[in-house]
Amino acid sequence: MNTLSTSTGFLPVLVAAIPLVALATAAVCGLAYLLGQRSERVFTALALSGIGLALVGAAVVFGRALMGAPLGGLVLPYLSFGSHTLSLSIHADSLSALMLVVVALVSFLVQLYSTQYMKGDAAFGRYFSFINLFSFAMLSLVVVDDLFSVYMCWELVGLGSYLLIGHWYAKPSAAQAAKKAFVITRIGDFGFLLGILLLFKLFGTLDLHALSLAAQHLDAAKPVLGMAPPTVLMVAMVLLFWGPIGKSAQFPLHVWLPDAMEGPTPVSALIHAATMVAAGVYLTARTMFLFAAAPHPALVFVGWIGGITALLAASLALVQWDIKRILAYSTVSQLGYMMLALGFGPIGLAAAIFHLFNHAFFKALLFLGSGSVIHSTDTQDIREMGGLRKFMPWTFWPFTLATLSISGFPLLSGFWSKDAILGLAWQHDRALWAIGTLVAGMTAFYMFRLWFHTFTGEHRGKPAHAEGNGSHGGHASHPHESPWQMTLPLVVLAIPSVLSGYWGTPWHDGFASYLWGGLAHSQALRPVPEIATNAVLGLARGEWFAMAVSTIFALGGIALAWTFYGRRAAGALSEPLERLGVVWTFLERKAMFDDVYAWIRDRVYLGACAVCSGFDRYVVDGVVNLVGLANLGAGESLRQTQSGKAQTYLWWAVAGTTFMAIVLVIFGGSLRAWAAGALAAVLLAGFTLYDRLARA
Amino acid sequence: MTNSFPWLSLVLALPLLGAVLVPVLAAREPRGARVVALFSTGITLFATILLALLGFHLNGGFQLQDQVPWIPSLGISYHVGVDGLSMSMLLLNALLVFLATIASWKVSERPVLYYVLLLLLETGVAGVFAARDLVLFFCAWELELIPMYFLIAIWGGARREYAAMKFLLYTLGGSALMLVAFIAIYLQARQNPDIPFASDMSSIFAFYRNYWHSGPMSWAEIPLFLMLFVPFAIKLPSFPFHTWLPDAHVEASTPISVLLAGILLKMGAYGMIRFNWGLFPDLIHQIAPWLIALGVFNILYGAMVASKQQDMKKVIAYSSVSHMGFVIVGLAALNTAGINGAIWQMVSHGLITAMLFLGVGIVYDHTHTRDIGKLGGLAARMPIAAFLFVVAALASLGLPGMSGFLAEFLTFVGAFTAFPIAAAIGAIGIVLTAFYMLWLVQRVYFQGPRPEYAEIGDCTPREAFPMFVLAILVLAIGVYPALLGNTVSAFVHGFMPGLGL
Repeated sequence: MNTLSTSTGFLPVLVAAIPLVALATAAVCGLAYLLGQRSERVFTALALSGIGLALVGAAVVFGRALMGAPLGGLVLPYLSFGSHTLSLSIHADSLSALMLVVVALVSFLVQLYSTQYMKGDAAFGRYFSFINLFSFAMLSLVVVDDLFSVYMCWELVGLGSYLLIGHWYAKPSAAQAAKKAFVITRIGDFGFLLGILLLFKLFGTLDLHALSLAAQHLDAAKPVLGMAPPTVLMVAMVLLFWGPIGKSAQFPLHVWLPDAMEGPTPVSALIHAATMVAAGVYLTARTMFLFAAAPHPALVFVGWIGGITALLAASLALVQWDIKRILAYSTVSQLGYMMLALGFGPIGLAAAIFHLFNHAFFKALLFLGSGSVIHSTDTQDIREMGGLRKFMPWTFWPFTLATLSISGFPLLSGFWSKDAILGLAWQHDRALWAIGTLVAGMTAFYMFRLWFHTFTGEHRGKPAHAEGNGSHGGHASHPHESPWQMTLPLVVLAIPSVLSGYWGTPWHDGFASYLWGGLAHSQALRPVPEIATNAVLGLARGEWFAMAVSTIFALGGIALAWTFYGRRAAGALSEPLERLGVVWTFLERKAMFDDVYAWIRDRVYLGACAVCSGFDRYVVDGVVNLVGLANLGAGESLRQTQSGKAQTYLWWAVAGTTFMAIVLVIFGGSLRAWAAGALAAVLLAGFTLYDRLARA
Repeated sequence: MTNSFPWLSLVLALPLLGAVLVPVLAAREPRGARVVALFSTGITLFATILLALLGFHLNGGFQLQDQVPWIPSLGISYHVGVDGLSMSMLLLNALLVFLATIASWKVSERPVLYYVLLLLLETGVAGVFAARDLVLFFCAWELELIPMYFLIAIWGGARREYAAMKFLLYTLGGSALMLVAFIAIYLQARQNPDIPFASDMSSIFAFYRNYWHSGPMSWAEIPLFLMLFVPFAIKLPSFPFHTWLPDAHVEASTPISVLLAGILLKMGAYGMIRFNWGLFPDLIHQIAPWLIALGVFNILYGAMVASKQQDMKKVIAYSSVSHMGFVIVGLAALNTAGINGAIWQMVSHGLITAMLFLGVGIVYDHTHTRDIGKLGGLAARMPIAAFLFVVAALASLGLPGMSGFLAEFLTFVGAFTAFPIAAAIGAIGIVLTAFYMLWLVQRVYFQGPRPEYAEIGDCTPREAFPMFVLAILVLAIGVYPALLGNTVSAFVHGFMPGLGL
């Protein structure tokens, strides 16, 4: 089934070991916590050494990948049925190595940060157990090499998200958000599962290498449900893409991500900004060869879902007051950008992954920075912040760089990858280009709306307790800078937020050659490397017009934000956007998505459940009781409570035997009475035994 | 025909021996009954494991067979034997009864009778899974019924009489049909002089596999099939014969619920595989679409009704309807993946649902309610119990790394290969299950701690132990599926030719 010979060198083992280190860390932390260990130093040491080790491993793998070495893989048979084997296959290439190092690095920094952020939390150990469980699943997801394993890791990643969003489960909103995140992403996974099953039916395998071979000979496959193989593949890919729609919070399943901000802020940085939500982009890239082999509408679907999501989420981000929700919608919007790029097919892959790579750093920084601000001010409402530049310089400067970077400010990392995407869009789809450019302006605007509210002007803070864990109480009235464990990750992340974009500029496209060089080795994108030799595959080169326009939009967005929020008198909090009237209200209600979904859940689905439940109780069971009552004479026997136990049973035994004896007579031969006798004997023996024991 | 020493019969007799010893040894001190029962079930479990490890060969078909003529003039014999399916079920039975005994530790009302009935129940259920003779099978089927009736009727809740009677009537009604069908099958087989034991299951299956094409009785195939399908559908339980289950669960005490859902329902699935699939391979192929539809309906209907229940036990009870629907779907797929999935689901559901009922039992013992509306925030008060219940809920909604995921995945692979549209509709179940299971967890364990439960403590080690054992097993099978998969796969490999596949 597997077409790639398995190499058993050092590297494949290392690749397999990286997630397992995280799993072991999770298990040890979890066990220690269950056994009553509460020392924060113990968990800090365990978690940091575990994820640190994983980071070192990931760095080694990434280093080898940078050198262009093939990384190889392992296949572990998992479960056989008939002639099929479901295996856990592990295979690393340039894409996996890149994801490994991003996930391990962000996870390490987030855990370092968390040692302070979660200080005093009663469930400190559990938190670190779960965050490493998540890291395990995410690190596994990027190195496994067949869709069955991907689906397993995919679900486990969702588990990590569920557990961590619900960290403060005593808070109803957190418990609700955790469930919502799991159920909504499961709706996407329903499509994902069907896509997998359809691919399995079409090609008889789930192994990515085997699939890449099979996709080349699509016409050799058998029709399914009367559809020709290309159509089947297209349907399968559209279904499969619902997995990414759920996990990457794309329209129309984006609704869970803003609510997921109920989780601790470092969790938002790791899971809901840098890694898990990027899993959908990763998976779409990983299965790009199938999207590319399918008829074009599959890719158009991907691109337009991305475009709509980018625009919708950016609009929603304009009107939020909660710092984390602005960032959450921003994440949704940026993920939409990546999907938009993937919609262009293999040529968009490098740009999408490049943006994923850059975005992971600056968005993690923004979330961790917001966490630092929340930690300091005890509020998430940007109206209650202000002037924090003075109090928190170590938070302020990295945060500012990341804000500029995501806004597409020239020469920072976000600028390069965003323009790679917009350049492609300019070449391939002007409508999506227009959307993308507009979103670039909106992004700059809402990010600087946040930035001006938070860091400039006078401090407007009140001693409120926004995050309900109760651990941040008792701060001094002035905001204060966070401890080094929290600011160091910000400073570290500021470096790639500025510089990572220089890996892929229009005049030096190192990123695309790294990515495609490695993917050509892996054969995982077999149909694609033929195009890969073509320079077009790289980041869009020299679309200077598109770049200029998007830069104007970005600077315009910043300028507008300055006009609205930066220039005004200290303390003035009017919101110019409120003049949008009904549009403002519509956006503030999250474009009614939650209302509509709640209506579907409560009225339609739970209504149908109530109908079923009533039907079950009154019709199905009603008939049963009616039959019972009729048979037993006005129901006396059914209602007998005390006296009739043994007698009733005996009556039934005799009646039953008689009935069966009659049946026997109908069926013939007197010999059969023996069988009836045997039955009666069994029943009587049981009754007698009970009678004896009851009297004892 | 009979191996040198009747090891299997010995293992089957162990709980019966226990049932005799309990009243003898605990005559003076009724409280001692639980110790005797614990030893009996523990030794039975140990012996069953030994039997599986040492005496059982994966690819050996039916083995460890003991056959002794019983009523030779009628061709009836005492004949037991196990294959992979039976062995898995015997292990599940021995394990769950052992854990149920631990969960029954606090039974104070007529303990001697209680433990005797528990051990008789174990004997009856084991007999069903091991019997290779129709009459023996039927006797074992009825033997299980009697103790269960009393276990519900005496140690149950407020409406226990009603629930126990409902359970009894339903099962007896099914038994009557089964008996008629058995007799008809027996009589027909008896006319064939080549069959020495006309009620011997192995002979009968071999006989009937080729019979339907030509035999004069082929008109009777459909009524016979239904007379065998209905009793097993009642036991499974399948719509519309399922309403005894929620009532029985609500009224039964925790350990009895564990056994009821964990192992008794499997008798229905087991009977279907043996008789409906084993005796009517041609008919099964013809009605497979209807069976798939029934299974899918069970999955969705059970999940939807579960979503509207207020009693924790009813949620779990209807989730059983939903999850046992997967068994029908997998079986009706009539391919390797589907049948593997169905048997995986039988074992997996046995372990997981037992955990869930144990978890509900802990909640009830500590708070004296199972009303979801009155519960809330228990995780803060009982973290270990909450942890174990969440593990069970996640296993139930098919999280990878646990047994339920593989069961569902195999079932879907099989069903989708055979009936894509129906399987796709059934797969909606994975969303619905997540919805009601996580809702249950959220309402009972999460959200703000309620003042009325400020005083309750966490579960004791004795309460946690059975759930813990099950959690380890669910995880172990999920992580290293060969533990179960090899046995199931070998069984299916041997079973497929009988279906003409």
